[in-house]
Amino acid sequence: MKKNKFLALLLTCAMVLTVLAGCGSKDTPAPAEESKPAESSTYKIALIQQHQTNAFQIAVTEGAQAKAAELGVELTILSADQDAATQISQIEQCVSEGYNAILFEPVDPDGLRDAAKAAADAGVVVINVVSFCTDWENAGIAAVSCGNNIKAGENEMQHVADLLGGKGNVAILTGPSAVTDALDRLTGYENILANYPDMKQVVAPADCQWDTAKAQATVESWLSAYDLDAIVCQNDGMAVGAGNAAGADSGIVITGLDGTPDGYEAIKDGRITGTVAQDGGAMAANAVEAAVTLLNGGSLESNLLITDSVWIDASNVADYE
Amino acid sequence: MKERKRINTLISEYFIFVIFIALVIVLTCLKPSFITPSNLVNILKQASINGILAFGMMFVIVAGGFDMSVGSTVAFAGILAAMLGQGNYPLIVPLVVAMLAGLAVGIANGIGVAVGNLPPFIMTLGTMTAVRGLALVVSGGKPVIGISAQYKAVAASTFCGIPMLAIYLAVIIVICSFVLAKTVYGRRVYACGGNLLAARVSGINTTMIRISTFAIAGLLAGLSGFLMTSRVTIGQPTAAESYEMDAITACVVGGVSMSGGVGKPWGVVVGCLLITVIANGLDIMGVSSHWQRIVKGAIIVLAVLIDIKGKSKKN
Amino acid sequence: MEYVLEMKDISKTFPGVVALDHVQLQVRPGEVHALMGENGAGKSTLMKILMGIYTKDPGGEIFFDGKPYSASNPKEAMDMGVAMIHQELNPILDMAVYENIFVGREIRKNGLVDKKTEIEEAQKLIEECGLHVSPKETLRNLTVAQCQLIEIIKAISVNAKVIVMDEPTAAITEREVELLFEHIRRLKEKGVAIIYISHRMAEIFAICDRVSVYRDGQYIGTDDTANLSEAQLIKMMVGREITDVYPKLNADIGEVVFEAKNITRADNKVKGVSLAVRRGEILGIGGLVGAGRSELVEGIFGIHPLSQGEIYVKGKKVKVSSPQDIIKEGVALITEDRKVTGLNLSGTVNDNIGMVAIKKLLTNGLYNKAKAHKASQEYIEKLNIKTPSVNQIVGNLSGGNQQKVVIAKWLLNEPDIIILDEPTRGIDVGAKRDIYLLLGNLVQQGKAVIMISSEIPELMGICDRILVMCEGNYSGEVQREEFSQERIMTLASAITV
Repeated sequence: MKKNKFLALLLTCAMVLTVLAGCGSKDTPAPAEESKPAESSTYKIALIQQHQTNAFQIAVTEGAQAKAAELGVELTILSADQDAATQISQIEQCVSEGYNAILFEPVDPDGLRDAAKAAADAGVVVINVVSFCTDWENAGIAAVSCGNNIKAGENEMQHVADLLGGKGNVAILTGPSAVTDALDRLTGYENILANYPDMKQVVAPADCQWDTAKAQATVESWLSAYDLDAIVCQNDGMAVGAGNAAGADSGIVITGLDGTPDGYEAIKDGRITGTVAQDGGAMAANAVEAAVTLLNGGSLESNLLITDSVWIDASNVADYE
Repeated sequence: MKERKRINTLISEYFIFVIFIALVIVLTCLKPSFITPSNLVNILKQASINGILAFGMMFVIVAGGFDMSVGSTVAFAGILAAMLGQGNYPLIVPLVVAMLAGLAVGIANGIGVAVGNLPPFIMTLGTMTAVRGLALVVSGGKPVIGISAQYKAVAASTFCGIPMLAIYLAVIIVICSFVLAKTVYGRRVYACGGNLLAARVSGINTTMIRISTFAIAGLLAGLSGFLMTSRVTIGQPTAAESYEMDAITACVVGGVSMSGGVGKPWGVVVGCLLITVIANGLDIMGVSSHWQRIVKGAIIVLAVLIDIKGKSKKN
Repeated sequence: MEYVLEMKDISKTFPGVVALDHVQLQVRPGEVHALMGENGAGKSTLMKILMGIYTKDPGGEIFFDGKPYSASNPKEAMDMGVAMIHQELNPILDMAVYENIFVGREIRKNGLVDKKTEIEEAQKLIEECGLHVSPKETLRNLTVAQCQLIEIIKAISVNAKVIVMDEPTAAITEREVELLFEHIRRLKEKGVAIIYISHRMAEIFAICDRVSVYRDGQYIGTDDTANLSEAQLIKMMVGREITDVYPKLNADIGEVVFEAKNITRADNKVKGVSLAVRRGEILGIGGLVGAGRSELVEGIFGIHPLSQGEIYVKGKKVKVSSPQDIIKEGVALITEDRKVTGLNLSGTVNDNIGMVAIKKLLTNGLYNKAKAHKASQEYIEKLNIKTPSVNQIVGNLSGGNQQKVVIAKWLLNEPDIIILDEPTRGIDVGAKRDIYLLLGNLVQQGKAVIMISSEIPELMGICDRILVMCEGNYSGEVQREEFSQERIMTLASAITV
């Protein structure tokens, strides 16, 4: 009996903690105030991120928050933790709680389509951020604010080609093979490589799962068997790993993609050459702005808002930290 | 005749070692650069963190348990170490904090299993998820950068051409082997895993023994987190995903019985080297990542299968 | 001081059950004191309180060496001088003999395990016990009997003043029992008191000085063994008279239904043994531990590969490569270790009874719960299984009732030939008698029974014929008219060239 009571107490504590954690992650005032009728000028906007576990996603969070504060709208941020089912129920929940707009990065481009359409049919403004649903225009999605992974990949590989003078042995580290981001970036690489017949891939691209340690081990092994001039990585974390394996100022061109603090640090101390930054903050800000425009009855010049990628190396890294 | 029989027994006892040597020979023939000193150094570096985790795991498995949480613990401890290893404190501070964090997770696991009577799989699955969450909360989801040069040198430096990481592993191997083989405590760890009830009626405090094995696994995971951060130069909340599986694989391939009570330290060393060599060899040969998984899976199953067959021949 | 151990007014209540109701026990130094009673009488509970595994209800007192005694775990009990050989074998199979002997009280030198001394000490103890195994051998490679002897060695090496032996002879044969008794006598001379729990009457009268009897958690009485007859003792235990311990029912012996010829196992543990059994006949298989009796029937049943041998069931030659092949022909094997190979201990009575003959419990290919319940209920009544319901977890039943569940599971499959390996090991008088009567009933129905037992009186009591094995070989056969203990023992220890 005593034990049961103790367990019940524990469970209660865990539940209270959950509620507290839930409130903490919201950017809005406590729920009690939310239940008051919202002022007509304050829109309720929800941003549902794929996850919040890397620097890029945190930049998305921060960009959205800054823009929301600037425009004076109420913003709630949720994370789907990479789970499509979670994201669907979060969208449904936001619709029933009367949000005016839902911004989200689909965990799965196909799986989230129906949920998006249902939300749009209920009169909510739906906008995709960072990546987008398959055939989004027909799913009621009002706009898409994203970078372009193919273009970012092209940007990165073009800089590598320029640095190598269009000639040399190249190796590629990729993210998980079945992920759209990774596939698009690879397509970008290949588009550029097609123009430079003297740039050769001497090993098959290695899937290092976005992971620094895995990239580091793979590159260590490669370096004892291959003569590499450039190592092109699909994110900064893996580029840092490659840089650690090669050592500072190795003479090997090592590049990353995303533009995250770990990448900047490695650029500064010469372990990696440069990175291409996707501006997550700008994507989120554009999306919030577009949502407000649409809610105010305005219209967008284009419903595809592309944020350009930028090349960052030792010369300009200080501007981005 | 007798001599030959003795040799046969010896071979079957150390069969996994024979398999390991065979694999090394095959890889060398396929790609001679495999056997170069620089690559051997690579293998030592790459085996070390998994090796340390595998020894912690070995204590738990030999005592009849199972720990899914070590990967998350590595990430959590690594984040703490990165935050404290920015040069503001002496290096001992991040080391001790990382190890204490690991120890705390381990003790929580141990209490859940030995006192709360939860199945080890469930308990450590819970901590695996929660501790990963802790790592994300503490780091705010971002990689922690800016560790001091001194801290980076912990993993990057070498001693007489041997990477320090390998030396740390060697020290851990020596300590763990000694504890398991020579001390009363080690003997009792085997007794608990061999037959928990028997150990209890023989007057062994099985609760403490089981908690302590999880604590050791946690402590070593904390140490691994500290070393991991030094090796990759950043603290990442998403690091060491599924490292527990590599550690368990090293144990099982090395002959540690999943039902507890059986396992020799040298077996774990070989098991750990075997999986590192597979990954390294396949990288060197430039095998595509997709095929690597298939080959790795097949080699692991085959190695254990051949080992079992080789042993059963003896009887 | 008259008593080395005195337990007064001890009670123990489990939720819903009074396991001990104000019982007592007084043990003198240097005596062998038998605890008798059927399963559930409370003997084991009383001993577990002594060892600190259970806590007694408040009120009772325990005095050890004249001083108040209380142990909260086995280690404390051992430290105070009380050791126990547990009824459930507790070997750590993957550890060496010497490691098992010293587990929990390792010999230390400089804080480390002193392996060398441990091996030497173990060697001495093993030799004293007349056992021929290396102290470095892994227990997994030993027989059940050898493991049990290791347990005994472990307990006596603690230097205890009181040693509790709970069914120490359950798995060993006469020769080893003699060695054990010699040991007990030596311990007595040193003033050690032994509390001896056994279901074997002969042993009680052979070795014990006094007996305390318990029944259903109550203390019945204590007396000198010399003052009691077997019948009186049984009456104290069961509360009524049992006249025939080994009831033998008459059955008509018919044609040969099962024949195994020239059975030789691939591992050579059985060499060229043949046997045949007729309808209505109970064939006993006797021999010392390690004679290859279990190995023979396991070979016949397809559990271990044979290098030679033919098997005929009802005149038809059967090729046996796995147990399914022979189960199909109507043969059942009730294995020696019910906990390991006989039962799903965490399953219910119902689950276990349906395990073999699940096909009989199907309706349109699906498991029919009602049918299963009905079948289980039928066997619970037929075999007099004492269980609160068909949904009781088997692990919670007494040994005798567990054994009956194993038998029920095979009977549901309606076999014609039933092989039983030590079916009465570790179960009490009443349950044993139930099993003998059951076997009698089966042969009356025209079935054939083959029974392995280490208790010669039991074989002589209920078998029609006894086949004796020695060192994996057929040693001889004795017909019921010629049964004698000497004859069987001679065959069992015959040295074959």
